[in-house]
Amino acid sequence: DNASCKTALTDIPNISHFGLEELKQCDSSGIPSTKSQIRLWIENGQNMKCESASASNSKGLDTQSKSNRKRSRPGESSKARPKDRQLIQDRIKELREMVPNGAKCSIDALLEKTVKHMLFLQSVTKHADKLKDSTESKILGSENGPVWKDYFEGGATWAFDVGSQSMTCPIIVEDLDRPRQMLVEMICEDRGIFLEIADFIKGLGLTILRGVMEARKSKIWARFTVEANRDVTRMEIFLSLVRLLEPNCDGSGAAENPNSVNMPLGLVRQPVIPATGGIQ
Amino acid sequence: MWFAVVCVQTDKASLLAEVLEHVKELKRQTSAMTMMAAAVGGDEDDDAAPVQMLPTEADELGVDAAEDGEGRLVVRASLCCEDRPDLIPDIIRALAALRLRAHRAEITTLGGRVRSVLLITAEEGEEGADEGGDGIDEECVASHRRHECIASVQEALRGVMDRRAACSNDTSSSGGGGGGGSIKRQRMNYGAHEQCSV
Repeated sequence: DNASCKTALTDIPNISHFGLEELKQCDSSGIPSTKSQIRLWIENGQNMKCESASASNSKGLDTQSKSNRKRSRPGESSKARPKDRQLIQDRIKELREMVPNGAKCSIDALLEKTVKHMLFLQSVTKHADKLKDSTESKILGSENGPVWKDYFEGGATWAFDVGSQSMTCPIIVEDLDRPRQMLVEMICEDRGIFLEIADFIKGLGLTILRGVMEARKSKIWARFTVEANRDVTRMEIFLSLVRLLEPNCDGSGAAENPNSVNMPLGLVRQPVIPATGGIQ
Repeated sequence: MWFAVVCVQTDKASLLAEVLEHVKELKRQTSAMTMMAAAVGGDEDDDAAPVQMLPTEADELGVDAAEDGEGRLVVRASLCCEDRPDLIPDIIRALAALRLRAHRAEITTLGGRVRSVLLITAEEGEEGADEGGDGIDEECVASHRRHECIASVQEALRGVMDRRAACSNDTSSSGGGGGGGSIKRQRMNYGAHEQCSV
């Protein structure tokens, strides 16, 4: 008896340790009722903690029940005891099966994993929302890439019609509807770097929500739906990319690097640091 | 005291029931999305098995290989792990050590975790496991090469993923691991500078 009392009571203080912190960061829209219920549970637990130290008699508990107005069911408790324990065991067991890595950990660890799991599942739906707007490739094609055939059959100078401009090595940086989200799309020469481009994008503080890249016949196409972790302008991103991808860019190269932001020619005529790309 | 415990247990039972319902509901919602993502994310090759595009909570690595239209071996690797600044450089290094290079990549980041699906080919001029063809079936050699390739890519990428586990100082991902609020250090010097000298 005493052992099981202890078990029940020790579970709760541990929850208050992790659970509340997690839940504070939690988006309340997704799991509202759970959050408030867990909070009540935590309050119960903390009250229990206080109560257990003092004389444990029904008098003290009646006071308890009054303060936890939503949770007091004094009528049921004495009858439901063994059944409740079984229910709890069953449900914990079920939870262990549903939550990743939930099989062998302690109950408070299980609950922590549950919160983490629920937050992750929530982020999946949010992610789908985030990507809803940006499914169309701007540069000739579908979600998975440009129409390479047209690109290579064009002859010595390939030009893409992007809006009203004709570009050979386009770099496009566009704002998306959501704050700090942008679409970055490009075609560039394959100079030996590929995945490095994705890493460079990350290095600019842009999380790649969804990125697709393909290298074919000395050209690379890439499109990234990104979310910035700071306020960065399209211009910053664009210029950084130009410096990375077109290291020989200078005034005369302006025709090679038009962009979706109308830039005066003079802007491009800057000394450019060539990409050194120290990989190994 | 006993009475108090029972009160709590009653709460626990119904609370757990609600939690279970919530988790089930979230799983229902996301499984639809996961399947959609897998369908959309497949590459041009219709024969390839549909590949999960979304990151999962547990680390995953899957490597398979096939020959493309011109008989070249193409390895497909799907790895999912916690995002970190040196993840992509590590992948590049691991592949380069095998004289391999990705020619197609699909990257999805969510909840601080990232999945990269890569199509990998050997660098130009790479022979592969040429066991001396006299009297050995072409088919056999090709199959052997395929298995070796898969195994070495698998080992290399497993190393990339495990490196993270080995040097992680905290295991909880509060959704901010990937790029939630931290400015990533630019680990590789590509020679680009941030200042805009207009």
